[in-house]
Parts: sequence; C-alpha cells; structure tokens
Amino acid sequence: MNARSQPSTGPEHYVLRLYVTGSTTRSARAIETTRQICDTYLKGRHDLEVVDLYQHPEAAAREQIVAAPTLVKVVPEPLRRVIGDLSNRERLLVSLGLHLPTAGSS
Amino acid sequence: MPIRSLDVPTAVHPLQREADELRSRLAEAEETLQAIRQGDVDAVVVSGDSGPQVYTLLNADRPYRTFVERMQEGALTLTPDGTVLFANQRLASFLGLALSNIVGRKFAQFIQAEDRKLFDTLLTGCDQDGCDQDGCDQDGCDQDGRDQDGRDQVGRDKAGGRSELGLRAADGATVPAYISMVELLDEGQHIISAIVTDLRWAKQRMRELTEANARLVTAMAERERAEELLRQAHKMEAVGQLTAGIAHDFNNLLAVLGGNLELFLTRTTDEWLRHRVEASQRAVDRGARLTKQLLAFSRHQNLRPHSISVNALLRDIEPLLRSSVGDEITLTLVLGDALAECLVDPTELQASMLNLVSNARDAMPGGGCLTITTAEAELDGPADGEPGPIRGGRYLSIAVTDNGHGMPLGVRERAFDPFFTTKDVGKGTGLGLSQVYGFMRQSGGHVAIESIIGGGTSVRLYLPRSNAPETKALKIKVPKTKQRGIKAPRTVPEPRATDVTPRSVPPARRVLVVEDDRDVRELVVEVLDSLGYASIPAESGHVALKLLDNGLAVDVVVSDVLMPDGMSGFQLAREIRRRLPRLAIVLTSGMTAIAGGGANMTPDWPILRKPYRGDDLLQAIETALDAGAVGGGIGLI
Repeated sequence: MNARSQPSTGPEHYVLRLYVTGSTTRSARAIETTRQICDTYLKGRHDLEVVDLYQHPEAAAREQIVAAPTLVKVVPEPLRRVIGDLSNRERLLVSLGLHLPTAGSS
Repeated sequence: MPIRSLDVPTAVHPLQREADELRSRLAEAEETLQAIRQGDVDAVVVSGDSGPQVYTLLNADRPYRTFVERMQEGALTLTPDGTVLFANQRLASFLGLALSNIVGRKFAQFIQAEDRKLFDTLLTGCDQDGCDQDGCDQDGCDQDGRDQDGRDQVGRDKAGGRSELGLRAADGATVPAYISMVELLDEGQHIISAIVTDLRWAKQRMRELTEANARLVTAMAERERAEELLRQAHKMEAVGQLTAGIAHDFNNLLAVLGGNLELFLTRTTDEWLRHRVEASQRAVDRGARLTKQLLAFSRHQNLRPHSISVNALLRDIEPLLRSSVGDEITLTLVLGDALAECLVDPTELQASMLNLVSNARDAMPGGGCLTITTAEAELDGPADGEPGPIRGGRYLSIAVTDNGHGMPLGVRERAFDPFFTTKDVGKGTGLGLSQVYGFMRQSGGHVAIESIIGGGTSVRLYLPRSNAPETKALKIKVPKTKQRGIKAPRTVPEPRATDVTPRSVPPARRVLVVEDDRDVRELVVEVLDSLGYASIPAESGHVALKLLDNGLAVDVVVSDVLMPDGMSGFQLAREIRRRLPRLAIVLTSGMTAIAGGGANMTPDWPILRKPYRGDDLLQAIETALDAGAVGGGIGLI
C-alpha cells in the first residue's frame, strides 16, 4: 500500500518545520496557510517550527533545503519536503497526506 | 479506505519500498525544479566552503531595500578600514551630497575633525589589544572577546558601538548625529553596518524647551521680585496710614495740653509753678516733634516745594553741617557743575541732610571722612538698595557717603522701616531714615542705600528736576544751635519771653471757631479770649455755615481741617468764599488735610499746625485779616 494515498484521520503527532527567508509576502502566506491547516486538521497534535534561513543558514544543511520557503514534514514518516506555492491549501493538505487528491490537483 | 481486510504483512517487499522512495524523491525534485522555474521561491540555498549560503532573489529582497531606503535614518555599510560600501539616500541628504560622492570614499571625511578620533574608536573597536574583562567598557564589545556568533576574536578587536558625533556636510556645516555601528560577518568578510540618526530636530526642540524654561524661570523671578516690592510698598502704606491716624489724634491731645499750659502761664507769677509749666511745655514740644516725624514718614506732611539749586542749599547749611559733624570727621562737599534745579521743600530737605549727616557721624565714632556729592542722575529702573517701585527719569542726586562701619544686609533691608534703629535705647527713635524716605517719596523722588561692612555707607537722595526757573534766592532760616544730635528746625517759632499780660489787639475782633473736638474748641475759645478776641464756637462746618447764613457777623473764621459730618475745613472755606469772598479764614490741622485732595498738593489756604502757641494763632489771624483787607487773598504763614 502506498502511504501517500492514505489520508490520516488518526491520532498521529505531526512535527513540521517551515523554512523561510526573512519576511516576504510569500513567506507570510506560507506561514499563515500552514498555521491554518495545523489549527483545523491537527489540533493538539502538532509541533510547528518556523526557521528563518537568514538567521540560521546552517539549518538548511540539516534538512537539505534547496530553496525557501520549504515546508518539511518530519514526523510521521516518511520525511516529506513541500516546495512551491505554499499558499495553496489543497495542495498542502494533499502533500502532507491529510487529504485525498481530488481529480485535477497535483 | 481499506479495500478488504486481508491480513497483508506490513513488511512490503524491499524492492517495492525502494521504488516508492525513489518515486517520492523524484516527485520532490520535479516539484522543486518547477517551483524555481515558476519563481515560487524567495531564495535558494547554495553550499559553500564555509557552509550553506542563502542567495536571495531580487524581488524577495524588495521589502528590505524599500525599508532601508525609505526610513528616516541614514544607513551605511563600511569596510573595516572605513570605506563606504553602501549608503542610503537619506544619508546623502544629511550630508548634502550625491550618493556617488559618498560611496567608495572614506567615511571619516564626512565627520567633523574633532569627532574623528571617536569615530575611529568605534570603527576599530576597543583601545586595548584583545578584550580584557575588567578594563573593557566599549559598547558592543563582548566582554570575553567573542563576537556575536560566538567565534573567538583572536588578534582582532571588536568594532561597533554608539555615539553622538558631528557630521560634516558639503558646506562644512556640522550636522549633529547619533551613529550606531555593528560588525557583521558576511561570506567570511567583516563589514560594519551603521545607522545614522539626524539630531538636528531633536536638538532644536531641546534648545527651544531650554530657552522657554529659562524665560519662565526669569519671569517667575521677576514676578516674585515685583510681588515682594508690592508687599513692601503695601506694608509701608498700611503703616503709614496707621501712623498718620495716630499722629493726628496725638496732635489734638498735644494741642489741648499745650494750649492749657500756655493759659496757665498767663495766670501765675509763681516761679516754681512757672518752672513746672515750662518743663511740661517742653515735653509737649518734644511730643509735637515726634508726631511731625511720624507724619513725615507716613508722607502726610504739609510740604511746600520750591524750585531750588541743591548746591546753593548745601552751601547755605554747610556751617550747620560742619558743627553737627564735629572736629574728628572731615567733611567735603563735591558739588557738580551746572546742575539743573530740583523741586523740593527746602526746609525738609535741610532737615533730611542733617539727619543723614548725623547718621554718618554716628557710624564713625573714631573719626573718618564724610563726603556730600551732588550730580545729575538718570534712573530707568529699580536702583539697588531702593525699596518700592521706582519711576524712571532724570533726577538730581545728593549722596552722603561715609567710610564708617557700614551696614550688614539685614540692617540695610530694614533701614527705612519706622522705629528700626541700631542705636542704643534713648539715643534714637528710629524715625530718622523713615522720615527721609517718606519725605523723598512724597516729593516725587527716591532714596537708595549702598553699604559695605567695614567699608562705609552711601545714602543717595534722588530729587525730581524742576521745570520752573529758580525762585528768587530763597533764604532758609537756619536756627543757631550748638547741640549735637539731630535737630530738625522747629516749625513753630522759638518761644517768646512769657508775658502775663495779653497782647494788645484792635478791639472787638470777632472770631468764628469751627472745631468738632470739644476740648480743643473750648481751648481755642479760651486762648482767643486771653488774646482779646471775641469768639463764637461752632461744632461743625454745617453749623458754621448756618450761623453765617443767618447773619452772624465775624471778622475771621478759624477752622479745623479734619472734621466729621462730611464737611472738611477746605470744603467749609470754599463754601464761605462763595458767600463772603472777603472773609478772612485760618485753617488748623493735626495732620495735612487729606480731604483737600492729596497729601502732596500745595494748599491754597495757610494751615496752622497743631499744636500751636497762642502767638502763632495771633500771627495767623492778623496775617489773614491784613490780606483780606488788601482784597480777596489770604496771607501765607
């Protein structure tokens, strides 16, 4: 079974890290969308950390970050990096395995 | 959603797992490439020799750039040796230069010479090599020698700090500024980043506030001073009113005493009795002098100002002054040239001069120098040592200066207060200077004291200038006296040799006596009787007028000035003038008539001051009658 196509409705704990570079519109939207998802779908079972690569450039090496903003799902496994338009909630949900992909989405 | 509950082992085939992982990673890589292609990223991370470097794409940078460009502060980055790498437009505007003239130059040239050393210190870090925990107090310097990233700064001092300094604008002008510098590590290179705040606005505000505060403080001090002067003036005024009232009542008593004593003398030849009466008369005289001094202080004197030359007056009384001062003191007159005349009552001025000279003499018990100087003076504000408000203008000044023991500040402040004296009991009433003060103020002048302890005192009189030509050589009667001490000339003539027989007068002179005080009225009637007049008493102005209107025939009216019932002696006199223009009038007073319209007004009618001797009354009546005979006028006492 492919873990990707299995939406999670269980009590798993999520650890997420969002890598941004300072304060730009893009990073602001990424942060907002991610927070919303956490509050709606992962209430009480998530840890979200926002890391500014300007302040901590060495953190990029740890998770092999190539570009910012990037959202990393550390736990539950497998580790997944999401990059691109992070203001797209639907896409984000699918990427995090919280939603089944609907027809037409990535 | 599960399809069927097959007990499928969770251990998936290893190849399947690997395939899944590869697919996952591929998907991720494709996603990343797409995101970059679409420009959905702010920055990319590039692995460099010293770790990952974050490369920001231009547009993502914009908020920062805009912020730095638009903020109110100047921003710049410098190399460690102070060359400008970057400066924002704001800084350029502070300096009044184009950016191109700033970037690439050494920033020190845009700092005022006197602040360059300070800038240098900020730029290069602490003065000491390495950081010493105890000794280092430089801002931004981490005390154990580490920089902000925790790296050892071996062999390199930490730059940075904050300070006020002066920038040098294009035109050479100083721009007060506050600079805040910090050292950054960028790609292994040290650069200095600085924010420059323009302090001109802040300094201007500060300056304005300080000035406003100073003005406020000055205004408050002036106000306090003015209030103090006003308080002082009010106090003097109040005391003056009180004193005048007392003096007036006292004079009435003295009049009764003196008059009755005089009558007594006419009725006895007993030597012992006469001695007693004469001694009592002398006491009455002293009482009269005292009340006169009180009146002088309270500015209720009856002054007769004339236009006189102060130099002439001083020369006239010089012998008197010399005798008053004695042999051990050198008196020098320094009289100014071509002085204008002043308007003052010469008799009172003479009395004041004697007063001041004897004060000076008392300040030099072992002898010394006394100088009297006359000059013209211009006053335009409160003079030092002058109590009360002062009117500006041109004056004649007479200064009495001694080199005696001087006055301490406490004494000087109270010198003009009535009854204040530093002399022993019985040696002075403390009225002298207050008399002088009252006299000068009433004359429209001023008096000021300067004194240094151990150095001497100078009392300066300022007399108002006169606009009238000098009245023909007014000779002042100087009574001969060998006594030491203040002796004001008496306003009543020397006592004549007492005579038992009354003076002979033309027969049947009728006198209308107007006086509200019963005892005084009876006394006057008695005195007139003894002088050979027939007198008709009236207890008020109204009664007197009624008598006259009803046809009472008299030759002269003798009336007190201050009477109740709303009609003063002056008013009565005016009323009588309207009815009987040729009727002789003599006014008497225990005080200068206030009802006449101001203490400083020269009265049209002569005023005989209580207490008076019978002879004085006689003279007054006769003079008035003579003047009346000539036609309409009233003679001067």
